[in-house]
Order: sequence, then structure tokens, then C-alpha cells
Amino acid sequence: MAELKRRRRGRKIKKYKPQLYPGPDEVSERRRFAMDASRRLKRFRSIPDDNLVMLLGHRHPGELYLSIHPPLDELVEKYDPVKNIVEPTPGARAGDRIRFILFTDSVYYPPMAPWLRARAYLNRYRGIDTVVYSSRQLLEMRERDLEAVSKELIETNLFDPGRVAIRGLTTHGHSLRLDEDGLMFDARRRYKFDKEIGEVVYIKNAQAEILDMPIPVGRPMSEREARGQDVTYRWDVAPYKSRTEIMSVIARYGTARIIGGYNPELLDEIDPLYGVRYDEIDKIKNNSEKYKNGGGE
Amino acid sequence: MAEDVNVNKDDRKKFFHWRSTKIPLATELSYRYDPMEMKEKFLPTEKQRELYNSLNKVFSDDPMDKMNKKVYKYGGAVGQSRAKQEFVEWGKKLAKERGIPSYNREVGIPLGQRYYEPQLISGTDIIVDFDDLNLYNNPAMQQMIDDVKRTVIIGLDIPHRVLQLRVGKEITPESMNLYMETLQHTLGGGAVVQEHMAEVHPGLTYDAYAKILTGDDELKEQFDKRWVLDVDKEFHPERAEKLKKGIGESLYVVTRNPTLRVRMADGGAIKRGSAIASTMAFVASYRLTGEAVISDFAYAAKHAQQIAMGEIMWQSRSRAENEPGGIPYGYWADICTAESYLEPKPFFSAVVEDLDEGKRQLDAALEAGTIAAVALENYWLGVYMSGGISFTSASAVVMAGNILDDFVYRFAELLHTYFKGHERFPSKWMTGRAITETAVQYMMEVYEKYPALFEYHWGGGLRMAVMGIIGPALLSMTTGDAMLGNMLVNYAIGLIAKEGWVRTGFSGQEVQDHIGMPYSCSLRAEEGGLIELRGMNTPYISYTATHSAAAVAQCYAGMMGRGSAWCTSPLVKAAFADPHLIFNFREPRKEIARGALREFEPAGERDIVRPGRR
Amino acid sequence: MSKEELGVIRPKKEEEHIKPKPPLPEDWYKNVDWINLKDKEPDLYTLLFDFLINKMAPCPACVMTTANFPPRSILIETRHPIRGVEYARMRISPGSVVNGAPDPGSMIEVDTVLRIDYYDLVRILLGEIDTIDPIADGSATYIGNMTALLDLKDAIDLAIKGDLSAKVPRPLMWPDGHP
Repeated sequence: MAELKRRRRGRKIKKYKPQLYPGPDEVSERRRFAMDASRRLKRFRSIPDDNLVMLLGHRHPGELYLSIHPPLDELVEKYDPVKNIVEPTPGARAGDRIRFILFTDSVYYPPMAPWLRARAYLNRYRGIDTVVYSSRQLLEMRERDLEAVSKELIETNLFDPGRVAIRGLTTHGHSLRLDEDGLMFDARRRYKFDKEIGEVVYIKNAQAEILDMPIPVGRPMSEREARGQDVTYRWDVAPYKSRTEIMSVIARYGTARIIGGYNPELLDEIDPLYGVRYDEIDKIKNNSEKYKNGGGE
Repeated sequence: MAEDVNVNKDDRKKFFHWRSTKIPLATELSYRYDPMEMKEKFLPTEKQRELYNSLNKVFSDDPMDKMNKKVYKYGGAVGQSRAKQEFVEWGKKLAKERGIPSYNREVGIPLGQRYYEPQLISGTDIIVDFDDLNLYNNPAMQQMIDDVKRTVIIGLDIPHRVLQLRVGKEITPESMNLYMETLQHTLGGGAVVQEHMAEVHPGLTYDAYAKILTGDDELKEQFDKRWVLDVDKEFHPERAEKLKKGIGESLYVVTRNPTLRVRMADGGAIKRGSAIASTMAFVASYRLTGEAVISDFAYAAKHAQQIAMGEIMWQSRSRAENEPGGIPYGYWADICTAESYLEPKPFFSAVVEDLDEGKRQLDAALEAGTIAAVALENYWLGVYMSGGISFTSASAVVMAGNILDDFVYRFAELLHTYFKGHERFPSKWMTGRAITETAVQYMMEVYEKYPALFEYHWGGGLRMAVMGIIGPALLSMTTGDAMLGNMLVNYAIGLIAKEGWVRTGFSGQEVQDHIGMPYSCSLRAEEGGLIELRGMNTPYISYTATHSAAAVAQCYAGMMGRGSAWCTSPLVKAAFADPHLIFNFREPRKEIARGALREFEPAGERDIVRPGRR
Repeated sequence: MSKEELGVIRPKKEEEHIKPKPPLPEDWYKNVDWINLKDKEPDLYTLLFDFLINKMAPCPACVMTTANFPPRSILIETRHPIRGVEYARMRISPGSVVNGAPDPGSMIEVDTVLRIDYYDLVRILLGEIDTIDPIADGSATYIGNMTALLDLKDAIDLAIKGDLSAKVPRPLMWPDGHP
């Protein structure tokens, strides 16, 4: 790695910087922020480790991690160059089993949404598997890695106790109207708003098993705050219709796939808005006698 | 850029003096605004919409309220739904009678913590329970598929030629009518050739009959009116003309097998049932014996001139002919005859000239969408392919709540207001992209404005289905090009809607369209050909529910957009305008509502041979 | 089966569907009173600017109506046979015309991009054809917010006709002032 950096300096090659997402507005900036691994997430709240373990419900606090294979250091394996290049995560090194965390994101000003989660997870974390649904996003990792990542995901700006929920089963409720405290609907009622402490408390863990003690996860955002954190385009946050930059990128994708048939050479020749080759645009425009005569001058 | 415009700079300076000054110009960034502040300008208008009223009726609440204070306090589904109460009673009754527990609301998740909304059938005032729209509970839906499955069209030209040339018999109006009369007898299970036969009780097969179909008026006149399917009577005169021209001078017989046969066996039995009934009727009416020519009748009726509704499916989805999966999308579009009495005018010209005419055409397209949703989502995917209890919500989004109606009406108004004097949109990518984008953006906006609508279409798949149907189908309606609409389904779901909300449907629903290049311009690249000839049998496409009604809607919309009388086959179109069918294919939504209200009388019942019912 | 039975997918000639447009005279700009400099054909920016100051701004109906609209910015891209591609941004509420597309990095995002033939735009501003006509004919296209485009159409219609009766009442989906 150091060698590569030295060579880059020597040749004055700029490091590739992905653009991540188009659009100059706040919502696309939030999307870029979530996806950009080089930017640190903002920490909004703190959850003790034991509480997190109880919330996930995969093991009891203090219990040893279950392993599905001996630690990698003790395994004698055939030589594989890839294994030398890729450094195993702590969980993989220890041979932990694979466990999951699942977040459901409401449609009302969520600070994260399923597809963005997938993109953010893949950019930010190693050793993951993730599945996108319409309302929820599954993240599967080695258990100890999962706990570390979950802590980050819950403590930072990617989580809103009122509009994002940790659910293991019966995950539905993202598109339903909010309840009287402004919380997302949950058919298992895992959490409620504690008026005394002003925070959302989980009374059941992700698997809907009743907890020994309620676990507070922080204050739910007000609608005003949530609108400032929203990563989806809504008519009342940032009208999606007016996002011409995203629309142009989308038009380019669509045109490339449908008209260009995935031919990369054709891609550069095709105008994404007209969907025809650039040299044919002039022909399309040949609809006035004036034009054929060489214009008005 | 050929040359610089600013030649005469001194003159320009008079008008553009600010160019030389250092005054900073206000850009767009200085005029950012909060859309919420604009709310009052359009909210009063929203309340005039059908959508607002329907949702108000369904939810008995303000549909634009983001908060539902009554949630968790509704008292469960049993407390909210008449159907669920009935189910619980029956569960108890069955447990007592048979000794094994049955339906039990105590197991599993408690239903009905939120509002268990009833379903308002679109285009009607009928409000039914959600459970009544389940395929198993709704006899009208079942009869709809049964009526399709029991239909086979047989050409009579080859058998007549065989009779004339090989047997030397004369074909006369009398002989043809005798054949038809015999066919009515044999189709229901009556014997004609052997003298010692057990027959089928005609009360069980009262729905089996055959009708003559031809485009030749003179030929038609030679038949007894009782068994003529009269295209002139069943369609708008202009449509009838087009259909008759399409059918031509050939003679066809539309056979309806008894529903009981569909219920007992499968579509393969229907194909054979029609063939044997027709062959037997020929043998009896033309007094033939066991000679070799009979195999020619059988061959003509079974293969050469048989038009089954569906083809045999490929191995892993293997089903016989006439099963819903093998029926092409274009046939489904022909099976819906909601447009039969409308003038065959291209939609775009119709809507810019007369808004109501345009809305009637859109209504017809939604009726076709309903048929497709029930047949493909509920029946094919929900029962055949998954072995499940049918994906009721997948068809409910299409036919309930006046929601799709409201979306398409708003677009009709837009076209009517701004596109006066135009005949159609050009069928080009650039137009298609723009129109689909606008449609999807608009629909997303409506969902955001109406939290109750978000709750009504509670799953991502349902919302994506709506966008996948409406956006591209509107485009097909306006351009008359079904293929262009089909290309844009994935564009609508997998790109526009996805990037707006960064979420799509269940399991990232756009995957179905990402596979291969199924929606590219080239017909050759995907080996699938035209969308009309494609179906649920196309092997390389993976399907999930809520996804397939869009294809049928586009075929139908393309037909309406061109002002055609039929989509794929004039024979199929004419065959399903038959007033003797048990299910009325002109008004599927009304029929389904009747089924939900338990007012629909299906065929194929065994009541007359049950104990105590003689 | 003949083609007519299947319905007409494409007309025999593309032109049949395009609304007839009389050809513009060679020196059309010399006879237009609101164009300031008649020495040569105006470029896109000049054309829009002249229209704004001489037609839209003096028209009370136009100013009053567009004041109800949210701030809009519409990027108009025209193609001219000699000058090639030109860009200008038409802003409504407040009204102004800006030359060129937004600079990269300026964080400006326009509401709609309208691509149109230069002479079609001229015809629109002269009141010969409707703003929507080229889109329906397939010679122009847009990307982005159609409501903004309708705002532009209203502004142009009002400026040309000069009184409130020129405004087409909006359909239910997007009333005046809708974002």
C-alpha cells in the first residue's frame, strides 16, 4: 500500500475520488454523506454495549460468542494468495457465527432508507451481506463485527428512534401513519414513548421477546428536525420533480440500457434526452422549411 | 457554434450595461423556498378529487393526516371485520364437529392493531371486506378464470373440406345447423354414436354450449340465430366492421366446455373435450362410420385448426394448454371486452376532443388491468406457482379505492387541457421517457400528500405495481405502442421511483426487469418478440406478484391508443363478448363486487347431485 | 390482414401528425416590435431577454399571475443551424433571463430542462404555436418538472395576449402555485 502511494506521488496521479451521487441539493448531499466512507458519521446518542446486546437478542450480555469454526490462526489451510491480501475481520478471525440486524425505515422523513443503506453498508463496512426490501434492510455479519457496526448505526445520525426501528420479525409498518407519539407503527409493539424521560424505550428485543428492563434509545426527532435529516425526496422536503441532475443521470442509464443495449460505444453517441444518436438529432429537427434552407440568416 | 454573436458590441452595451458593472447577480440560490409554505395554494383543490373522497370514505378520517391517534386501539381484526367474525365462528364450529382444530385467531400475530380498512370497489359504490376479495372466497373471480379456461375455438374449414373432397358429402345450411345442434348435446356430455352409454346429468353441465363465429354476413345468416355469436350485436358498429374484416370468411365455432370439467381436470382436458365433442358431432350429423377420415376431424379439432387460449408451458412450470400461465398477454387484453361499445377512436384524439370519452377509454383499460391482476397475480402466481392463498392485495390495488381511476383521470385532464389539436404522441424514446417520468413523479407526489394512501398501499410492491401499470400504460395509451410502454416499466420502477424514495418493492422489485435485456428495443436480442405474444411462460423472466398486470395493461392500452378493435386475435375478442358467458367480461370489477357480496351465481356446482337437493 | 385493421401505429408520414407551421420569413426579426436590435437574428439569450423586458414585464396580467408561482428556473437549450447549441435560463417569479447553463460547482439546479428547436421557440414567442406543441410533435423534449413548464407556458401566453383570459385554467393535478 505504501509502495502504491509512493508511486502515485511520483507520477502525480490523482487518487480516484468517486462522485457517489449526483445533485447539488441537501438531500443528495445527505445521501453522499451516508455513502462516503471517508466521512465520519455524527454521533447523536450513546447506547451501552450490554444494552445493545440485549436489544439484538442474539446472545446474553457477557456470554461467549458462539463459533462455527476454530479461529483462523489455529486452522491449517492450503496456501491461497487472496487470503494474504484480504485481512480477516475480527469476527472472521475468531470464527464467529453470522448474525443479523434489521432496520425498518419509515416513509416519513427517514434519516436512512433501504437502498441507501445497502449502498452505505457496502461502502463503509467489510465482510457483510445485505438484502434490500421495500421497508427494511438486512445486514448480516460475523457476530462481534455486527455488534460494533450496529452500535455505530444506532448511535449516529443514521438512526432516528421514532422513524427507524430495529426489528427481527414482523418488520412491516414503514408506510403506515405514525402513532400519536409520532412513532412508526409496530405490530409487535417493541417500543414505546416514555413520557417521563422523553425517550423511546424498547420493551422487547428485535425478536419481540420481552426484555428484563426497558432500554432507552434516545429522543425521537421532531418533524422539523426529521425533515432536516430526510434522505428521501418528498414534495415538502425537496420536490423530486425538480431534480434535473438526478433525472439526467437516470435518463442516461435508461437510455444506455434500452436504446444502447449495454453497448458502451453506443453510450457515448446517444443523447440521453432524445434517445437517439447525436448525429440524428439534426434530422429530427428537420421539420421546418426554414431549417432546410439553412436558417434565418 | 459557428460564429460569435456579439459582433456589434457597442450596441449591445446599451441594453446589457450590467455586464460591465460589478453588481453581483442574484442566482437561483437566492430564491430557495420551503414547499410547505405553498401548501395552502393547492390543498383546497385536492379536496375536490375522487381520491380524497374515496379515501375519506374508506378510512373515515382525513386522508392527509400523517398521524393516526387511534392506532393500537382498534380492538383487533375480529372487532373490525364482519368476515373475520364469521371465520372465527366457523373455526369454532369446525373444531367441534371434526375434533381437530381449524381456523384459530389465537395463534400467530394479532391482526388488526391498525385500521383494517374495507375495500371500495372502483367505479361502484360497493364497499366490501378485504377477505371477500380473496380468490378462494370470491366465486366471481374463480368463474372468470374458469370461463377463460373452458373456451376453445375450432375452425370448421378443414373438416368441411374433408367432408366435401374425401367423403363426397354436401355441406348445406341444414347439415351445418344439425352439426351445431349435435355439438350442443355432445359438449354437455350427451352420447350420439354408441347405443349403450352412461351420460352426464345436463343440470351439471348447463353452461356447456357452442357458438358460430364468422366475419361473413351471408354465411352467418345461414345459421340458426340461437347459436350464432353475433359480432354486430355485441360491438360498436365500427368495431364490429373491423373485427369482421379480421375474422374473414372462415367459419369458426367457439366451444365452452362445462365448468365442472375445469374444476375436475385441467386445461388439457378442455382442449380434448372440445375436440372430441366436435368430432362426435361431425360423425353423428354427417352419418360417418369408423373410417379413416375421422382422424382428420380429430386432427383439425385438436391441432390444425384449434385455437386454444393458452399454450403448453415449459418444463419447470409445466401445465397443459388453456392454463392461465400459458395464455399470452395479448390474449388477456383481448379477453377483456370493456371497450366493446366504445367508438374505436385512438385514445389521444379521443381525450383531447372529449374528456369524458377519454375517461371511458381509461376505465376500460383499468377493467383489463383488473382481469390481468386477478388472473396472473392471484390465480397464476398466488395459487398455481406458489401454492398460496392468492395475493389478494396485488389485485385489490388495481380494482379498489378509485385510486388508479383518479390517477388516470388527472392525466386525461392534463392531456385534454394542454394537447388540443394533436392526434397522438410520437412513439419515440424521448417522448416516452418524458411522459413516464412525469407520470411517476406525479404519482409519488400523491402518495406523499396522502398518508392514508401510503397506508392503503402498505407494501412497496403494491406501490411499484401502481407505478409500473399507470406510468407506462398511459404512455402506451397516448402513443399506441405497447412495446414502448413495456420498455419503460423498469425505467419507471427501477430508476425513477427507486431514486426518489431510495426504496422500491418487496425484495428490491426491479430485479425482474434487470435480468438480461428483456426490455430493450431489439426484438431479436431477447428472443421474446412482441409483448403481445409474450406471457407468463417466457422462460428468462423471473416473476413476482404485482408485476405482471402491467404487461397486459400495456397491450390493452396500446390497442386503445391505436384505436384498434382487437389486440392480438379478433377471434378471442369476439369470443369473450358472448352474453351467454357466466362471467361478464365487460364489467369485471362489478362482477367481482357481486362475488364479494355473495350475489354471483357460479357454474360447475354439484348441488343437484348432493344429498337432499334433488 | 391489412394494416388498417391492426390500427395505425405510425402514420404514413411523420409530418401528418405535426401541426402545420407556416415557414418563417427570411427576416422575421425585423418585423417583430419587441425585438430591440434588428441588425441581425437575435441569439437565444437576447431573444428571451427582449421578450422578458418588452412583453412579460410590462404585462400586468403576466406579472400578477406569475407572482403566485413558486420561484422557477427553466434551462432552455436550443439548436440553431448556424450558431449551434445555445443555453439560457428563463426564471419566473421573480422573472429574469440568465445567459448560459449553470456553471459546474455553482450548486444551481434548474427545475426543468427544455430542449427545443430555435425556430420553434421563436414561433412560441411570436404566438404562432403553443409552448406544448413541439413536445407533442416530438421535436422538443423536457426533463424535470412539468409544472414549471406549465408555469412558463402560462407566462408566455399571458405576455402575448396581454389579458387574464389567455390563461388556461389548470387541471386538478397541479393547481397554480403547486411546487
